[in-house]
Amino acid sequence: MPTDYENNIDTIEPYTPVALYYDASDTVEYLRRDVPCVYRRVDGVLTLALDMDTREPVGFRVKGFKNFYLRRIKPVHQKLNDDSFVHLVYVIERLVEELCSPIFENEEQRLQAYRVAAEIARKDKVELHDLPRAA
Amino acid sequence: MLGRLKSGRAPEEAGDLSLRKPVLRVVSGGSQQLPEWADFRPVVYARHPFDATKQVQFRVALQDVLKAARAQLRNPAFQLWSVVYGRPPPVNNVEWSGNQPYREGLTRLEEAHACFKGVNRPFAEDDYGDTVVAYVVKPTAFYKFEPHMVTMAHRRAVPDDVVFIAYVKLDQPCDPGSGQVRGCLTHWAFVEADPENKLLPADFETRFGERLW
Repeated sequence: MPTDYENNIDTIEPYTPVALYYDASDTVEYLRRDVPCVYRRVDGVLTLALDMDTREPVGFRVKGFKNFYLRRIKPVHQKLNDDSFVHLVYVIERLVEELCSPIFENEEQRLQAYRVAAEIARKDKVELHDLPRAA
Repeated sequence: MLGRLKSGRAPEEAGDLSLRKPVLRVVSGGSQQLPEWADFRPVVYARHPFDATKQVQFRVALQDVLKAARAQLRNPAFQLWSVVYGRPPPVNNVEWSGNQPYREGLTRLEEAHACFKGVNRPFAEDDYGDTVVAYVVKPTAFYKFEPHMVTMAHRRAVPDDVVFIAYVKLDQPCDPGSGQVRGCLTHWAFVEADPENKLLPADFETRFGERLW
């Protein structure tokens, strides 16, 4: 598994934005900056991270990621292995598909939040290298 | 692998230390010594989720906050210290004049004033997050990571429209009536407060399954 983002924990270096998978909470998180954030829950899957000072969106969390990845992403891209990566914008687009557009037709605010997350993922070309394992 | 010595005795019987099988010990955390601020306490105390008059102890999922720290994301670690453990991060010069009174406004998980069960979303193998409890704390100050000539931990005020949630995944099976409830603190975060009740998270009635206390 690539760990090129893992520096010596004792050295203070500028944060380079990276998507991380947190196993304990089964969550993928991407943050543009290492700042205190206020997290705004959009639904059971998506949470936006807002800069605590400006309340500007600076990232997002995709919750329950392992189940969704193994069920919807990996079967389509069967060559994905521990050294692969997946573009998070693709993940968010599949999430929108799975959650069904009819729901979003009546929930403009929720759809807008997904657009914000997708735009961050697209603009920053966010890749997740640390893919969860099936076991 | 070592076979027998010419005497017919097994090497470990012969008393030759160089031929004895090594005693293997598990050393957690690897060989790199962690700085004090990354040497997190492995357990944290909290009020019993099903009986607020009792106290329980939870493990802390250190691997994720360490992963974030290694990626140079330090704010989750500083929030663990200042909002969950209830003390300033142990970094150089944290007691400098700019942080005084340096302990004021911090909270500990034990000081949670509300606890909810069920997070209404898949959580690893738990399809609905029913095994997760969420503790709500309302600190008025916390420590932020910010590189600076004097110190990298800066005490700052928590906005009034924000609360802090710490999530614990309970070990299963779980007997609510037992004093032996166990679990693991998996993650934590500041979230927007309910506009009508700033002690509770926004949408608390729908984001959680039930309020325990």
